[in-house]
Amino acid sequence: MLGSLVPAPRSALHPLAALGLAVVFLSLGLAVRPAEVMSLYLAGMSVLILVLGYRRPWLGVLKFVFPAGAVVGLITWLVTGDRISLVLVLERFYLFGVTTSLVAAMDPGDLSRALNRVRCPRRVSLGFLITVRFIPVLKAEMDRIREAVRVRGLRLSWKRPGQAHRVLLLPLVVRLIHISDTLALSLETRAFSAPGRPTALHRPGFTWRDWVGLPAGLGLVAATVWRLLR
Amino acid sequence: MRVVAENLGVRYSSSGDWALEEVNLCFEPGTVTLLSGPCGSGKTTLLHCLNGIIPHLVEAETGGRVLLGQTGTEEAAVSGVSSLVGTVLQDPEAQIFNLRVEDEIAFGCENLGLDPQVIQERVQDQGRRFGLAPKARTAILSGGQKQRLVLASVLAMDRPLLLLDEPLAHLDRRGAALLAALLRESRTAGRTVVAAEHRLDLILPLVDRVVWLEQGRVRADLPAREAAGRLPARDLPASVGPSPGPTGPPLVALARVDVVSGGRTRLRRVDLTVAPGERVTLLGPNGAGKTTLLRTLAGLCRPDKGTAIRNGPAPGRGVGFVFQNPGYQLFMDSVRAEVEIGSPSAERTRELLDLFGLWELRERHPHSLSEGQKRLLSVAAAVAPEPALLCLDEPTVGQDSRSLGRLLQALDQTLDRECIALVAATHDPRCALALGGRCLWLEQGRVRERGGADLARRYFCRELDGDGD
Repeated sequence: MLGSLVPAPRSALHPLAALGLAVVFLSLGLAVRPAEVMSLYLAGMSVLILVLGYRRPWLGVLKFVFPAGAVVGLITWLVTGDRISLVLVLERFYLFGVTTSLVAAMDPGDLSRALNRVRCPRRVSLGFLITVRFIPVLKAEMDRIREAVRVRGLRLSWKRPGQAHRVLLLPLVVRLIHISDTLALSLETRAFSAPGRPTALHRPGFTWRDWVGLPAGLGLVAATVWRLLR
Repeated sequence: MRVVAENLGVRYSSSGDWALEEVNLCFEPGTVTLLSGPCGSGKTTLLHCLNGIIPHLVEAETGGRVLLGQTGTEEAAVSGVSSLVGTVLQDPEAQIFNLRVEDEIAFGCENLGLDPQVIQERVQDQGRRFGLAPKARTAILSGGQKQRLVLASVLAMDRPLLLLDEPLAHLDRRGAALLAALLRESRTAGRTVVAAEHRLDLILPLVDRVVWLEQGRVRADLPAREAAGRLPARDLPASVGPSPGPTGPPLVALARVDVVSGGRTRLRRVDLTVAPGERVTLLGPNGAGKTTLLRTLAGLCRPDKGTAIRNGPAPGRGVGFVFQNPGYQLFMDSVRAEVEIGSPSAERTRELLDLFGLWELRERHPHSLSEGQKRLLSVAAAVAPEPALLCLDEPTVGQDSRSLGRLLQALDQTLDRECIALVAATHDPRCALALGGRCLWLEQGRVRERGGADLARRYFCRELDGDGD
């Protein structure tokens, strides 16, 4: 079912804090080159999100990120002949996984209210909202398709990548296009772009996680930049 | 609000044919109009024109115009149109955006800038009306509960024009009664309501007027009382003969089975045996556990308590399962290949394509078919490997009477000849009565009553009476 598979922590970061940290973590992570700095950076991020209560979404995302990273990393290693490329790819996938877990645990309703509050243009927030809604949808849809493959009695094998690609990817892509279209129409027909300032039934507030997480996250970013510049 | 469509024409960029042609209609305030017709006749396209989705959000060549009161949808921005129109789209699952019921109901009201106090009242009212707990997670709702939630979120906006696309598709008897009350109330409140729906048996008594579309044109425009005897799709599918009794030892036997998922007990102490060639219909309100019971019978779900003994059938081996949404199960690049992949011989593939009326479409891509055709194909593909047990979850959703008749006839022939056991979960009396066999009435995960066709009749009569227990 939609939204059921990346469980939110009991009290996640404020949506804007989580979004901001995810963007900063990802941007800096893509720029970090030396391996030892990257390892420390990733370790620091991991500790922080675990302290902030993101263990379940983190584990949920890693189940996908590591196998995908391993496949892409092995292909890169075979093409370049350099073993370090495998490590680099795995690190980038892990970075992506950690930042995704921050976003995946976000409540799209709260994000919408928070973006309205800072008067984010509706076109920009529409993109953010559909992206955030899509992360749990993606996993739920994958599970359903795997189940459908199982009941049809189809045997997937690495030896036949063409069949696996068709059986898993085709229904997934068709379904995701349908969901994104319907979701966008559903938002628009419920006055998402209506003129005037939206109101809110309740507003997401800042909690201790934000007061701890934001300075700690920005501190980690500052320390990493300092190490890089030194 | 008076709504006028003048000489309306729509042609999608991906198609050479006009999806709508020369449509001239006027919808008066305080009336409920039913749009009906076969799948692909242009009902959804017409609704999309009325709410401005066409031409603002879906690219299409258009002709004519639509006026909402004095406002033309082509000149007004989508934001302006959406402030006047409440729209319930097809596929409730894909429209739900929020994680909590109260946030979903409040979403449209917040966008309209209503006072939070008013929003809170509407959330409470609609939640109570549709039997939805405001703090419940949307992810754990059943298909019918999601349909109720979508209706609740649109109604909370309280717009003068209400467009409903297949609002009964997933609703149980209680949900249908709620919709009936909503239509009566909308008429009294002077709202204009336009609904596209295939379940004429339920909706005809609730509407004032019927517009029948075929191939994008209006073929009939009648007061509802005159329409009842004249609509082509009013004919129910061919009645199916008596179900053959069980033959041989049970294929699956469930004994005192409990199933827990998403923190909820979905099934409680359910006993059920299914023998070869037998037919069982699962009845019950939304969230009663019908899908969970089907999944348990098929081996997709393990009991948390009790025992499930299988004499052969297991997922992918001896069990055919057709989900509520057939799109998940179509993998191949042609209709023929989809049936061929599980079929033991080319003759059987040909025979099934003929039987399900798909031979002419054999080279088409499965995802290019209409919903009704996809449903026929997914059932044909499930039957192809000659399973011992076939499980169908809401086989009538999105089907017009013609497709439904075709499906039931094809099933009837195949099941009897090959002694396939069938278990189907449905809210549609046409399907339940046509399939025959045993019926199980589930409520809150328990078997409330067991019986035959009499039980189905009694269950659906209560639905039409709006008895909500």
